[in-house]
Order: sequence, then structure tokens, then C-alpha cells
Amino acid sequence: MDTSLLDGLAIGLQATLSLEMLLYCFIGVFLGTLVGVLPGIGSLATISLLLPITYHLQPVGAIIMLSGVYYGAQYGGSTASILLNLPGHAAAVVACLDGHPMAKQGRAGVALFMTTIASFVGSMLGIVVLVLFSPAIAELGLEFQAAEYFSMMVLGLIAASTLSSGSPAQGICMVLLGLLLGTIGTDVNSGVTRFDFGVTELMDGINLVALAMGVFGIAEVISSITKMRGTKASEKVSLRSMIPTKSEFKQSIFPMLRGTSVGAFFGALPGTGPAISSFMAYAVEKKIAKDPSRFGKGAIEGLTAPESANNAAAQTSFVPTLSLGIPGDAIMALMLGALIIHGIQPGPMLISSQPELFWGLIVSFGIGNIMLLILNIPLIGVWVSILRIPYELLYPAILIFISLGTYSVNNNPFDIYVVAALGALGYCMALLRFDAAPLLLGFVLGPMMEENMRRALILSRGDIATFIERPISAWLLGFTAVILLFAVFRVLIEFLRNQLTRGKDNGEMRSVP
Amino acid sequence: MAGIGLFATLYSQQFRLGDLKQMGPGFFPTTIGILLIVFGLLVAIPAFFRQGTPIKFETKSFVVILVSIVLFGFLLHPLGLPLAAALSSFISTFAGKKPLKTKILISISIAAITYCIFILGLAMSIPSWPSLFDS
Repeated sequence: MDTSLLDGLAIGLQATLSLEMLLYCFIGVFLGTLVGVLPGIGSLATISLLLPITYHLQPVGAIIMLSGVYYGAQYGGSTASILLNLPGHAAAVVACLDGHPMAKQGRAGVALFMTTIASFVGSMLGIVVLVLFSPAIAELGLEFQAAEYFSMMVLGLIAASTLSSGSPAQGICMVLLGLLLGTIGTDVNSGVTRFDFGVTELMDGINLVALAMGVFGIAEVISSITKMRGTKASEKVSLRSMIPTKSEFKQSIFPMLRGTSVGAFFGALPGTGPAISSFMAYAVEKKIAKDPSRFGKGAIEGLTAPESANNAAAQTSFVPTLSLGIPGDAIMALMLGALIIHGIQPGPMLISSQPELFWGLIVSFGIGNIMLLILNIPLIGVWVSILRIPYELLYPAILIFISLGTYSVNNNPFDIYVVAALGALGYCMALLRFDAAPLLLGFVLGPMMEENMRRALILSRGDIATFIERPISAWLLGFTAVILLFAVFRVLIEFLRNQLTRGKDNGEMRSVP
Repeated sequence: MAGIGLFATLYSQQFRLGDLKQMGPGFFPTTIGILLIVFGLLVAIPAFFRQGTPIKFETKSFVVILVSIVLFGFLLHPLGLPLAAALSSFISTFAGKKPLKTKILISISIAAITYCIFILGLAMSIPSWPSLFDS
């Protein structure tokens, strides 16, 4: 890496400081906040919706805009949690725990203000981590061969499926299903079409956009229609009510920093993203608090620490994506898809071969976060009033946008039917508590994984031991095994505990683990 | 309960997929298929032994939404964007409970918005009017 940090930042500034780029960045963070605020449409659905539109843009602008949606949504997500007790997306679930009680006590303004500050602190420090670690990891990545890539992907997939919500076995099922969906279409190595069932349109495989929109977008709409009926934000938040007291501010400084470090760490790990980080940060705060009983009743630490954590994680999750070309979660998988569509091959070479993309993106994160700070504090009233728009007016538009967005990828109505089918599947899976995020990750990683496995086996002349003999690969697989064992252990403990309670009070209904 | 039944159907589908793998250059898919069977069973078997929690299936929303999407795909080419958008969003509003007037209003405004954004704004190549009128 011959570009030093300062050079890099200069390149980045040059690449982003044009009116056009700033506009893309602004559109991104604005839309991100908007969909973050609105429950029932998440950043994943939005990014997949915007993806076809960005085909017409130049790659740097496109990625800047899409990432803006991602971290912008992290800001907005807590608004609905605080005011309505309805999380805007998965990472904002934790914000309900103490944020909503604060709103009930009439401290909604303070809560909203502090989440914005916490988000800003978390993001900015997350960016620093991203800048410091990505080049180093990319350098390590240059030594990666097919075997290492394969093992790294296995690690990412296992981590994503077992550490995320729900049962590990269900998570692994979803990953496998995703991998399987990824094999649909023409095999790159032999040119044989697989699983096309005689349908010509399936020969190119399932469209990434169609999958993401179906599984996330449509499924979200179906389950939100009834859920959203009758919820309304009645609060009016004035600017004056937002100013926190000195002690509230002081109480939040260390939680924010702790939250940031938790978030930065889990964000950079493959497979764990903002949602897990915010839960972890909450758990940490509760554990070290002098009086844990305050939590859940409007403790400000319980709000600011997770909020910093999920924003820091949103930034650092770009580390594996940009430095190794391996996405850590479903949104990063989409970003990676976007890069590939624009003809940019992600991987350890990305930073040196596309410096204006890498550094431009980083500078845009900084600018975007400042924009978000400006957008969020004075405009909080606007966001709150958006929450008053009934969902019944919104969802027909969302549906049409989804269908049209998918259609525009190939200009083929067939993709719209695919979206409908995948939406049905996604809704059923969501009902059965299957998490769709590992599925998308598996879908994107599947073809890469297959190719690297084949390549590794060709290099080793069919000797499967190559994955253990190469040191980095062995480490990665070892780490994977530890995670798996941990998951098995957790399930066993839960099972035993259930057995015990069953022995005590027979016949009582237990919750599904 | 209902949940268990759904679990079973979901997994029978996965088994079928698992056995289809013998075709083609299918080492990778075969491996995944086998793993999927194993883990599918791992999830399904305990599921049979525990009491499922009742699942609330939003049948009405489910059907209405899917019908409106498929209809949109079906109508887009023959009718063009604004008409298809208006019709299918009109249908999708039946998942909610608004008066008929509002429903019509919603669908007309959506048609207008999509027309402005996608055809006027982004100049996408989408059929915009019924093909009968194109000469």
C-alpha cells in the first residue's frame, strides 16, 4: 500500500467534493433517514429498490448513495422506536426498551436528540476504525488464495447464521437455501444450466434485486399492513424539549464510547452487523450499571450505548466488504452485488486499484454523517410528522416501486412474477421465524464459494486437506468450528433448561427457543 | 398445530430439492442438498415434539398483495405503466380499510407519481400507454 492515509484522504476529498457527489450523498442519507423512520420499509428493501436506478450513474456516485441509505437508516430507525414503540428496523429494536419509556415520561425530545448525538459519535469513530483497519486487512488479503477465500466465506456464513436471531439450525437452513438459490442458472465452469426447470428466464439465475425485494420488501409489506393499523404518533416535539440536562449528557459519554467499541468490533466481524451490536451494547451497559433496575424504565445509557453501537457497526461492516470482498451481512452482500454490477471486482486489490472509490466512499461517510446531524436535529419535527402518514397510503406505492424496480433490471415482466413468488416464500419464512438475512448472504456468496472451492481443489489436485494445511485457512476454519460448537452448546443448554422446567410444571406452554 | 403443519410442508419441499442434485456438474449443489436435508431434519424433528405457538397468517393481505403484483407484471406490457400501476395499486388497497373514494384517489396519484418519476424523470424504457394506440 503506497498511498498513505493523508494521500488517501486527499484522493477521497477530490473524488467527493463535487456538487454531483454531494447530491448523491445527500439523496442517500435523506432517503435512508426517511425509510429508517418509517416502520414497514427497511434499508434493505430501499437499497434493492434503488439498485436498478443506480445502473445509470457512475459507480462511485452509486455506491455513495446506496451506503448513505444504509447508515442514514441507522439514524432514523430509533425515531419510531422511541415515539411508537415500533422499531423502524431490526437494529432499532433495542431503542424501544428505554427510548419508549422516556417518551412516556415526556422526555421524547431528549431521547431523540441524544440518539442523534450517539449515532453521530458512533459513526465517526466507526469511520476511523474503517480507515485504520481496511488497508491492513487488504494487505493480509493479498496473500489469500482460493482455499483461504473459501474458508473465510464459510466462517462468514456460519457466523451470520448462528449468531443472528433465532435458532442456529434454522439460520444454517436459510444459508443453505440461499446457496442453493445461488446455483440456479448457468454454471460458470461448465456452461451447464442447473435448476432452470426448462424456464428460459431462469438460465441467467435469479436476479439479486428480485430476491432481496421479494424476501424483504414484499414480505415486510404483507406483515405490516395489519400491524400498522391504528398506530399514530401524537407527540409534538419542540426544539426546546430536545435539550438534555447536563447530567443526562454526562451520563451518556462513556456509554457512547463503550457502545462504539462494541459496535466497531462486531460490525467488522463477518456475519454480525448492527442489530447484534446494539443488543450486545445494551447487555454490556446493563451489566456494568450500578443500578440495573433502571433499565427498561427510561435509562438514557440504555438508549445511547446501543445507538452508538449500531452506527459504529454500520460503518465498520464495510471493512470486510471493501478489504476482502466478502460481505458480512445481507446489506453488504447487496453492496457487493452493486459493485460487481458496475464492473468493479471487489477484493484485496480494490483499495489500490480503485483508490478514488475506496477513499471517496470514506470521505462521503464523513460528509454524510455531518449531513445527517444537520438533517436530524432541526428537522426532527418533520420526521415525526411523517410518522403520521397512514401506512395504507404508503404501501400501494411501495408495491408498485418494488415491481417496477425489479422489472427495470432486465425489462422483463418475468422478474415481477419471481418477486411475487419469493415474496410469498419470504412471508411464510418470516411467520415461521426464519431469518431471511442469511439467505441473501448465502445467495451472493454461493457462486463465489463454489468457484473458490473448485479452484482450491484444482490447485491441490483434488486433495481436500488443502483447506487445513494452509495456515490462514486452517485458522479461519478453526474459528468457524468454535462458533459452531458454541452454538451447539447454547442449544443444548437451552434444551436442558427446558427439560427441567417441564419436569417442574408439566403441560405449561413454553416459548419456542 | 398450524405451525407444525407448515414446518412439515416447508421441509418436504427441501427434501425434494435435496434429491434433485444428481444432475449436471453438481458436486457443490449435491453437497448443499445433503446438508440441507440434515439441517432441515434438525429443525423439523424437535419442532414436532414441541407445542407450536399459533401463527397468525394474514391471508387477506397475503392474497391481495400477491395478486396485485402478478397483475402488474401481467398488465405492464399490454397496458403500459400508468394504467397498470393504477389498476394494481387499486387492487392492493383492498388489503386495507379505506373508503372507496380514497382507494381510487390513491391509485390515480400513484400512477401519476410513477409516470413522472420513471418515464419523465429517469427516462426508462417502459411501455407507457396501451400498445393499441402506438402506431
